[in-house]
Amino acid sequence: MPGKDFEASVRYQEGVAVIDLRGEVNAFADEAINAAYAEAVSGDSATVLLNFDAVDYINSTGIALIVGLLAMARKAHRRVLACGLSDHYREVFQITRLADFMSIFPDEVSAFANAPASADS
Amino acid sequence: MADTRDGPERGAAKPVPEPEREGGLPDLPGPLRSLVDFVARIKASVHVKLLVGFLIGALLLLGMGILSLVAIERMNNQVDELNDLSEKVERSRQAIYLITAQSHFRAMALVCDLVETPPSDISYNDCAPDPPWNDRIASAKQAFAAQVDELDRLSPPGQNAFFTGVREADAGFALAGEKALALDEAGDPTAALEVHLAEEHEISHALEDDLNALIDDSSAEMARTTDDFRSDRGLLRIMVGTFSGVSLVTSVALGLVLSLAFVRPVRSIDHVLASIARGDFSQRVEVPNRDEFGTLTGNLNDMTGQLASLYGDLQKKVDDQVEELKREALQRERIEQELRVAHDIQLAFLPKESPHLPGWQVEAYYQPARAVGGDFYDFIDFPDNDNYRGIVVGDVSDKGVPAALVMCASRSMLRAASQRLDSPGEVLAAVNELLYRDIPPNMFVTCLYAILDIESGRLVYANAGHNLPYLRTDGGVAELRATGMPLGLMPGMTYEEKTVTLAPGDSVLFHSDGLVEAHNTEREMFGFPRLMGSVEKHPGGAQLIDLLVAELAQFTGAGWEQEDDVTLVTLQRVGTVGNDTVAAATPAESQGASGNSGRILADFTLPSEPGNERRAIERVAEAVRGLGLPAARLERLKTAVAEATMNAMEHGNKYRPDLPVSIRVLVSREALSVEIIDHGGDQPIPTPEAPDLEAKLAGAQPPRGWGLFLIKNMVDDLRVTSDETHRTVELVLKLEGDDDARKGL
Repeated sequence: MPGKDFEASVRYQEGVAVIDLRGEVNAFADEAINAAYAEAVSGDSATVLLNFDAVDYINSTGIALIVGLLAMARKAHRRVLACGLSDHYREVFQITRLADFMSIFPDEVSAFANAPASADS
Repeated sequence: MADTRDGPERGAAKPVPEPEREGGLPDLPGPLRSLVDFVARIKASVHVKLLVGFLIGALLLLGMGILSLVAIERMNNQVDELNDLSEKVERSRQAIYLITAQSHFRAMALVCDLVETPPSDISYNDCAPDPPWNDRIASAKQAFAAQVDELDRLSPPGQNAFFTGVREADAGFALAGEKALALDEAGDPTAALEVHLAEEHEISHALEDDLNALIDDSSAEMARTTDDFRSDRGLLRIMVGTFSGVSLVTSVALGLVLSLAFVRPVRSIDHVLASIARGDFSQRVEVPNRDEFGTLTGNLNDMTGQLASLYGDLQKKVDDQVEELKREALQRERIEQELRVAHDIQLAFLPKESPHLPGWQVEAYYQPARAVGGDFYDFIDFPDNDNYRGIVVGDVSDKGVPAALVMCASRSMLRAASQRLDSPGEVLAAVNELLYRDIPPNMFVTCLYAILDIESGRLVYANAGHNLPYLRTDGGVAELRATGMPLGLMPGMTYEEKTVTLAPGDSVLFHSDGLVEAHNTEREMFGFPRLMGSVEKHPGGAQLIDLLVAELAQFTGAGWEQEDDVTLVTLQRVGTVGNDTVAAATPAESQGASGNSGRILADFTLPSEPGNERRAIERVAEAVRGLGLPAARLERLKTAVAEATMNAMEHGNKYRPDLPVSIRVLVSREALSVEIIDHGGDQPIPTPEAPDLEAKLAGAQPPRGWGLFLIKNMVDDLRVTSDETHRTVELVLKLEGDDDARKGL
C-alpha cells in the first residue's frame, strides 16, 4: 500500500530483488517499504538492491526505516545494496555509517556490474 | 408452554430431528439409538434419570460384594476343617506312639525281671529307668486316653462307634497289662511275658491298626476338602471377574446412553441457536426427551417462532430503510456531485494565482466552510492600463449553494462594471442596482473594491459594508474606513471613496468575517482586536497569512467545525535592499529569539502536522536563495531544518495543531542562522551522540534516533535555548570564507 507521496515496487533481475523507491522516504513510507521488502525476500534472492533513483527526500525516520530493513536482511543473511542516491544522501549514508553495512553504487548498472560477485561471496 | 413432541406447527419452520450428524455426534447404530430414545422418553427429570443410573451401578457392585463375602466364608470353613483334620492325623499318630510305647515299656520291664543279668545290649539304666517302666506305662496310658478324647472331639458324630470300639480295646489292653503285671509281681515273669505277648501285645497292634485306619480316613477327607477349597477359590475369582466386567460394561453403557440422551438435545439446541445467530429462524428442535430438555426445546421453539416473526418485521423495516437510504444516498451523491461541480465552478471564478506585481507581494487564502461558499475575492486586470489592478473581497450573507450563486453573479457584475467605470464607489453603486433587482429579499453582499496604482502605491477603495481592511505602516495599524451599505439591500445607494498611499514596507490585509467571528470552545470570538494585534506584530504577505491561519487553529483548537468561509488577501509593498528584494516591512536589522543579530530573511509559522517539515524546507530555501549557498551546503541546511522542525512538531508541540512551530531565518556577515521555536520549553534536548548502528542492526536498540545526530552533522553549530514556554533550536551555517553567500548579503 503506498504511503503519502511514496511508492515502492519490486522486480527481479539477474537473481537480485530490486526495490524501486519513489517519492519521500519518511514515516509515511513505513508500510510500503516493509511490504516491498517482504515481497522482495519472498523469493530466493540473496541480494536486495534499493534503488533510490526516484527518491527526492529522506528524513531521519526514513533512515530508521532503512536501518530496520537492513537489520532484517542481516538477520536473514541477505546482502543489501543501494544505488541512485544523490550526493547529499550519499553523504548522509556515510555520516550515519549505513555505507559501512551496504554497498552503495552510483546507479543500477554499476550495482549489477558488481552485485553478482558480491552476492555470491 | 409448547411441547415439540406435538410436531411442527409454525408454517415454514423446519424441525430438526437430531440432524444429519446431530451437531457433530456420530450417527448411532439402531439398537443404541432405540435405547437412547427409550431413556429420553422416560417421563422423569434428568436428576432422577441420573440417580437411577448411578443406583444400578451401585447395586451391581453391592451384589458382587455379597457373593464374594459368601464365598470367602465358605472358604474359611474349609480352612477350619482342614486344620481339624490335620490335628486329627497328628493326634492319631501320637496315640499310635503311646500304644506302642506301653507295649514296649511292658516288654522291657518283664525282660529285666526275667533275666537277672540283662543282656549285653541292655544297659543297667534300661532295667532301672527313672521313672520306672510301670510308671511310664501308666503315664502313656493316661496320655493315650486323653488323645482318644481329643480325637473323638475332632471327629464327626458318625465316628462315635469307632471311638467306643477304641476305648473298649484300650480297656482290654489295660486288663491284659494288669494281668501281666500281677503275674510279674507274683514272681512269675515268664508267665507274665507270655500273657503280655499273647494278649497285651496283640491288642496294641489291633489299636495301632484302628488308628492307622483313622489316619487314612482323615487324610482322604483332607484331600477332598483341599479340592473343594481350590474349586471355591476358582469360583470366587471367576465371580469377581465376571461381576467387575459386568459392572464396567453396565456403567459405561449407562453413561453412554444417559449422556447421549442428554447431549443429543443439547447439540440440536446448539445447532438451532447457531442458525438463529446466522439469522435463520426456520429451524426447529424435535427431540424425544420428556425431561427438562424436552421442556427446554419446546421453549426454544416458541422463542424461535416469536423471533422469526419479529425478525421478519424488523427485516422488512430494515429493507425499507435500506431502500430509503439507498435513495437518499443516490440523492446525496447527486447533490454531492453537483456540489463538486459547483465547487469547481466557484474555484474557477476565483483567481488561479495571486498576481505578480512589480514591487508588490500579493497573497490570498480562501477556505469555504462548505463545498461552496459565499466569500469571494478577485484581482481585476485593466487591459487599457497595466499600472492599475483591481482588488475585490466580498461576502454573501449566506452560505452554501445560494451564496455561491449570488457570489458568482456578484463577481461577474463587478468585473463587468469595473471595466466601464473607473471609480470604485461607482462600480459598487452600479452593482448594487443590478443585484437589488435580482437578489432574494433576505440576501445581500458585502464587498470592498479597491484599485491599486502599482507604480505610486496609491490605493483607491470603496466599501459596501465589508470588514474594514487593516493598513500596517511604520506608524502602526489602522483601519481603512469608507462608508457604504451592503450590495442588494436598497436601491440608489452611493459609496464613499477613500484613498491611501502605501509606502515601501506598508501592507494591507483584506479579510472576511469568517476569521474574526470564529469561536473557540469557550464560545469566545477571535475578534477584531486580536486580528489587529496580529497584524501589528507581524509583517504582511504570505507570512501573515500563515501566522493568522496558525493562530486561528490555535484559537479554535482541534476538531473545530468551521462556521463561515475564511478569506484573507494581503497586499504588501516591498522595498529594495541591495540586490535582493526583501519585505520592507521587515526591519533591516533584527534580533533573533536566541539573541542573535542579523537581517531577518523569513519569519513564519507552520501548524504542527506531519509532513510540514517539507514546507519549512521550501520556505527556508526560498528565503536563502539570494545568498547563493553552495548546493551541498544548502542540502545540508535543508536536512537540518527538516529534522529540527520534525523534532519541534513531534516532541516540542506533540503534533498539536493549535501549537505552531515558528521559524525565523537571520543572516549576518558572519553566519546564517535558522531558529526553530516550539512550545517545549520544559523539555531539554539531549546532547547529540552518534547512534550505535551495530546495536540497532542487532536489534538491541530501536532503529530510530537519528534526528539530532543528523542536525549536528549538517550545520556548523547547533544551539539550544529555552524559557518557561518556548524552546529554540538554532542552526548555524558560518559564512566566513563563503564568498558566494557573502556576496548575497
